[in-house]
Amino acid sequence: MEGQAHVLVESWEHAVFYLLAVVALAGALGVVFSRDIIHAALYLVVTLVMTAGVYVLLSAEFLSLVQILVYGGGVSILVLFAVMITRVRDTRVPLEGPQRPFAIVAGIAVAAVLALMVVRSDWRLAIPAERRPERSPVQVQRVTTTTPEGTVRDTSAVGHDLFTTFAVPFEVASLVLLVALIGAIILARGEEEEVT
Amino acid sequence: MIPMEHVLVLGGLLFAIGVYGVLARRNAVLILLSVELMLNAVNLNLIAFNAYLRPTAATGMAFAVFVIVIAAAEAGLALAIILRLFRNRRTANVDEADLLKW
Repeated sequence: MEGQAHVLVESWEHAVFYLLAVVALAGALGVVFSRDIIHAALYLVVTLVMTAGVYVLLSAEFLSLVQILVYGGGVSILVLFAVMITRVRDTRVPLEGPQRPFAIVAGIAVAAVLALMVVRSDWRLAIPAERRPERSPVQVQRVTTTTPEGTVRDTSAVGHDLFTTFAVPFEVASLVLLVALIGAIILARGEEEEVT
Repeated sequence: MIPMEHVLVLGGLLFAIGVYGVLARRNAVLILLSVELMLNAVNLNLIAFNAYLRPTAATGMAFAVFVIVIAAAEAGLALAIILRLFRNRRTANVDEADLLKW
């Protein structure tokens, strides 16, 4: 009975993952092939939200929420504002340059190399030797995320790591964000006498 | 259990689509969108590695947080530059911004 329930959960997990993956890929293709910049930005939001769903399947709930808030909310709104302010939508010039065939070749080459690399690698070697599975299944099995003390890899673990192991990079990152945003404001504001 | 390879292939495909977008588009905003796509694919791979290979650590997720921070900073700065370019040259196409080209 429990085994049946387990299989059921597993098949649901598969179904949800492949659905999310297909929609994410479709959204990504929409971003690069869309004829309209506004549509491209909205397709990007679709891809980012689908990726957030995959994060949930990988039990990274915090990242999933950050993804939707920062990417799906902030970045996409920023892009939409930029598009509307610059009115690039009104220009009737083609959105793609003459280098397009080369770009297609490069994209397919990158996809082929990455896929080949992923499939041909023995990922078990990346697991620490003491936890490496003995009976070598070709695929890396996901280890359970719970320990006798309870869950270890959850939002509190991310917070703990961020403020202990990665405290200095965290501060540097916040400084980078501050400087970048001040720079963006100074660049975007322009001179007072400038006629726009 | 989703095989890790499938998640990695999804990340690789998203990255390749982003590469195509960066190379093929000539509008700066669309290039920026494709760069965001590539950063997002990298994040997906980081989290997959974290979940499958180091399930007791949160290192991959911490790295993903940093990538998201950099992506947000990059988006804000790039859009300010695009705005500036549009004000000065009345265009947002990267092949028309050739002031530095000799």
